[in-house]
Amino acid sequence: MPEKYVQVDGIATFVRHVGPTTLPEAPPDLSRGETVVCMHGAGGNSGLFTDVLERLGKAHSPLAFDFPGHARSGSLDNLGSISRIGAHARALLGKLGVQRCVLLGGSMGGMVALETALAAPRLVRALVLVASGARLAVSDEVLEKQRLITEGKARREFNRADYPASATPEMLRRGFMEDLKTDPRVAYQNMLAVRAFDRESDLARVACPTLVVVGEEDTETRASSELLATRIPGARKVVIPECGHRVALVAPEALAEAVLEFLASLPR
Amino acid sequence: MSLSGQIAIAGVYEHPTRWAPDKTEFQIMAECARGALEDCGLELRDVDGLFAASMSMGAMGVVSLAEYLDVKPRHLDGTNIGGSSFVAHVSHAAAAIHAGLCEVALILYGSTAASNAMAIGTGLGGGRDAGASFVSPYGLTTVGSYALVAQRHMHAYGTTSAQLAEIAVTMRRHAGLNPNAKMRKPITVDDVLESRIISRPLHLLDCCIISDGGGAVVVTSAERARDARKRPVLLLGCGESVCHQEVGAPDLLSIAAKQSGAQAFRMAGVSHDDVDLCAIYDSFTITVLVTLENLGFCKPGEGGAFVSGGRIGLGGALPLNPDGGGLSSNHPGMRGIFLVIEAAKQLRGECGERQVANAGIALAHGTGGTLGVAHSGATLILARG
Repeated sequence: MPEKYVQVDGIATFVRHVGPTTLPEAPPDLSRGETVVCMHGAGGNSGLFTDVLERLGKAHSPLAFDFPGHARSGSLDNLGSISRIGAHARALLGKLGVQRCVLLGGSMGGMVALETALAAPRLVRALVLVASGARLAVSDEVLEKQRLITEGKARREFNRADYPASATPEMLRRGFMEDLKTDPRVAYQNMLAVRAFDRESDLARVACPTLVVVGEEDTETRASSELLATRIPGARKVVIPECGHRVALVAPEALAEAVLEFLASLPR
Repeated sequence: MSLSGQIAIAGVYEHPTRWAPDKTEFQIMAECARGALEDCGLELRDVDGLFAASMSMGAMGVVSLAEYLDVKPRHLDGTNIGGSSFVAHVSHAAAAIHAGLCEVALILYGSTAASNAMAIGTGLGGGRDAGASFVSPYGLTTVGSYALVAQRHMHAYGTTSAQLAEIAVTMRRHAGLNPNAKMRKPITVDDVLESRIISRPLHLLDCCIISDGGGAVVVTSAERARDARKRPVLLLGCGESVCHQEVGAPDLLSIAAKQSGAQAFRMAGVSHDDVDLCAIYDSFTITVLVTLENLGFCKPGEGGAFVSGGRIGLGGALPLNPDGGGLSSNHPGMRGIFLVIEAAKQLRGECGERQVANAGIALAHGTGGTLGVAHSGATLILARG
């Protein structure tokens, strides 16, 4: 799968796309079907979307990128807030020449997508909010634990609860390995950014077609996803069976299928 | 024109971590770079000289590091002469700045030696170079070679384990005043003597600890450093050397510090009495003792008496490693950078409880490699600007 770095405000931003590779300064070819921009969750990275990109790439022009501070993108920090992460995403899309696209965001990435749809409605043709919410609680206890991890005073734990009971060892291993690529300090900063984000009262203002996707076994965002589907005008909701919080990793096929169907339904 | 007094350390940063299993060496270096640049009020884009070495960076490591940091320096230096590398980097940076090859030099170190369970001292000494083929077959370890030096010192001058222990006890006392130090619980001479033998005559507590960590130093012209956020620290003198190409040749007790120290003093134009504090690589207690002798702070054979009676402790005549050194604060494999950082912070007077009163001139000396076998020495004499 082609990969490239795009300089965005001094941050080398790592992008994965489909189709042929292009020269360093040339954006990838995004002419086929819809441009679908995939944004990962807190502590994740674009590598979690490779299977989804492949499936969507047969008829569309999907891409995914690592947020600042995550995996292969530059910066030691996450930029501080969902709106600043969103501004960076918009600047990246500007560099790639994207004027209108479908934003697909998982968990914290969904918040960035939602924020972008509210801040730059003309850029966003449609939203896909996966295992996300307009407000997600992060307890003091979880936050403090993460802070200790960043200081090397507690161990980073593997969160098995993010995966369905039926997850294969390969899925768990891959999730574990992908999560290792991001500094726990950035994951901590993400928690702070997520905690400070609340767009519940703005959901009625979302003007674009919206698809809400949630894993059947995802206790973390089941209620917040339901709220998104209820409050965003005309939103549709798809529940993926045998799937927890890590939708793109565990159920890329079902996610891609739901997205393809949604894209087909978009007004021309 | 001599570069003495023309070049300054403008920014320093010591990473507070001692355990970082979730970070890479480069990540630690990047965090340190940010810290040191913030310290002096410069930005990454101001950096045009990059200097680095680490436990796992290969011959082209500094090239990968530049890419990782997303900088395009016009002067690169990946010199690796062991733990003293970063002390040498300061003089290399000074020469480069003096010659107009760069203006702002960033020196970096990062390591996850502890969380990678690296056996630093008990690994085989002598490296993989030609001379090592005459040493390695006999299984000499790093700690083993330092122990040879200690044995020789005891044999020649009657130095005792209790005198060596004094050094470890002093470092631990200092570490108690450093909130970031890894080992802070006080120890006694008896604790050292009762700890198990690692390589006779060195006990466990005669050996440095193993930690994760890293640091960064920003070097620039004295002129430019005057505009920096903090008071500059001037480079007065520097020197480098190599020694002991085969075991003990020509003399186990004559080490690299002899040559590098003499040059640094000559260049700085100061005397031993002018030095207010020392930052000396304390890989093992014996390292400190023979380094003090070879730098000329005392005569050969007098080291044992010199380190006794509180002389090298805070409040003594020649305070040494107020941060707790490698014996107690941190030792992520190559400690040289922390010698420079602590000396600079002391000269700026920002060390709180462990501050040496009226510190005006400091000496930093790094030993790299394996004392007794091939090793390097690098000395800096620094002054409050």
